[in-house]
Amino acid sequence: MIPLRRSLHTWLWAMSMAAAWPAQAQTAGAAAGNDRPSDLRSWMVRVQRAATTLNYQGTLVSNAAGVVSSSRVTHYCEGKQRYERIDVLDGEARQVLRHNDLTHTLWPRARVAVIEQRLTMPDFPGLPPADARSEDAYELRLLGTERVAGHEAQVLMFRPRDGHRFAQRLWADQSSGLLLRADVLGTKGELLESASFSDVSIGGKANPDTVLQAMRKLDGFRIVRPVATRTSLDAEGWSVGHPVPGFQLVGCMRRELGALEEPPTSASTQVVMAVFSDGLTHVSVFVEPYDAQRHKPVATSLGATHTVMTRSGEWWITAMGDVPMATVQLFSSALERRR
Amino acid sequence: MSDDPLHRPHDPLDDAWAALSSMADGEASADAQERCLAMWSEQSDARARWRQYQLIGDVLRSRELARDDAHDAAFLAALRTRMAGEPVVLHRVRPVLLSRLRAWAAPMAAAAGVAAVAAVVVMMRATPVATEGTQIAARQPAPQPVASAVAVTAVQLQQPVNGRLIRDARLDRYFAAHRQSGTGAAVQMPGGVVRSVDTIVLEDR
Repeated sequence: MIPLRRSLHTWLWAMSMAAAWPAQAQTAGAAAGNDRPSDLRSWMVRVQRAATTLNYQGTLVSNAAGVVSSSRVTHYCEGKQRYERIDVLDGEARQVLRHNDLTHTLWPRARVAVIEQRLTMPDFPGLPPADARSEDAYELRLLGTERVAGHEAQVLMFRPRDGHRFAQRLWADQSSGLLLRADVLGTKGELLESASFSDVSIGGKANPDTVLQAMRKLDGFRIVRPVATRTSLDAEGWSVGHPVPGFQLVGCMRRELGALEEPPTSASTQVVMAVFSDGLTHVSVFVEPYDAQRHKPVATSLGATHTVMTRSGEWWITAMGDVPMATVQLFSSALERRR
Repeated sequence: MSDDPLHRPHDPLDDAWAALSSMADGEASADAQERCLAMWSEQSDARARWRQYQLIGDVLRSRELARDDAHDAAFLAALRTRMAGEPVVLHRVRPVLLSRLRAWAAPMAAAAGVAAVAAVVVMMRATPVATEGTQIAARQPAPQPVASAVAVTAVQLQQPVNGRLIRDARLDRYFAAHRQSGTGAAVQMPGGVVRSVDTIVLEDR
């Protein structure tokens, strides 16, 4: 099949998916035809490796519920050292600089620099790796190729095996494996959110000094270091009383929110944050003491991200994730207080 | 109009009221409309008469429309009370902006019973049950007049000002923490820690 016809075929398929998602689900496998397990696994490995080991630079455009924003993304890799720089181009100016787990978020207008040692959440012993977990929760299909940002890309479709999560359609660069575009699709196949490179150059020379120098330029910035420590639900007096199918607890931390507030101490809040993952997407559950003054129940939806804030006895629970509203609602009552 | 000895002495006001009446019936000429509008804005008795003509027209159309002037006022007062009773959940804007918003929102809703809504974020009350099917308003390409108290609540919660979305900063802090914790997924979009939801400005400047 020549590439043009193939991409047309994929495009038509995607269109019909969008029009009638459940009806098309059964025929998806037959239409794709090239989804041997070994192919799928090798694509997963390539995509994972590309994100961490490549040098790339591009403009990322994201669209959530019609709100379009763009950012300039630069990523360098030298040996085991990873450097990243993200300049947010819309809205309030912001720059995210990252060297391995150290992250600086600069807010030039407010002259605030938030410095965080990111806590990577190591998988619990015995927990299957992310790609294996995602296989339990999603059915992965290869949908052919399309062009994105001037690159020929393989289209991968993660179709959920149940209603607790959204489908994701991903475009990975054919030659490098780098993700060029990611769509989150609603339960009826509608596009909820999309992020895509409008231009990207892959490969090229690493220039980590541009990131490191920017990280040292903190003159005139008020430096904020939010406190975050690893903990466990058990130690905090909680347990997962009502697990949500397909999601596993992957980490728990006690952290400070609101470090950007002025004065810094007044509104900062210590929360316990539990993170659940199905291998592809994750849901965060925040727990803090209930405060009648500040806390009013609310549910919001923006693009694919749904949030429920609700009271549970003396506690205030915030469940948030790129999952359906019904799923964050399940998460808002998933934790149980142990006495 | 010429003098007619069979009728009482001519009162120029009669012409004016006739013109006003014909305007109420939608039959006034362009000239007459001009005169009526000028009169309406200058004379209180012209305004009173205009209301009477409207009322007569309403009653002729339907008895249900025969309501007193206090009806509108009562409706607006009730609407204001309902609006005041609605919880303002996501709201952290600077006082100046807040007062500007209120100054804008209240008279708009009171005067016409409408408010422009372009809520990007769909707000729902968490209780009793908020499902996807109950979403109140989706994003609209341009502000559209929506005459409902529910929509007014959405305006108070999430208000795009000058095309930018005002949103609670507290929620953003949860968003940021949530995005950061996303490392370790099987596949991830580069630069995914920054997403459109995080780049929306909080305050009008």
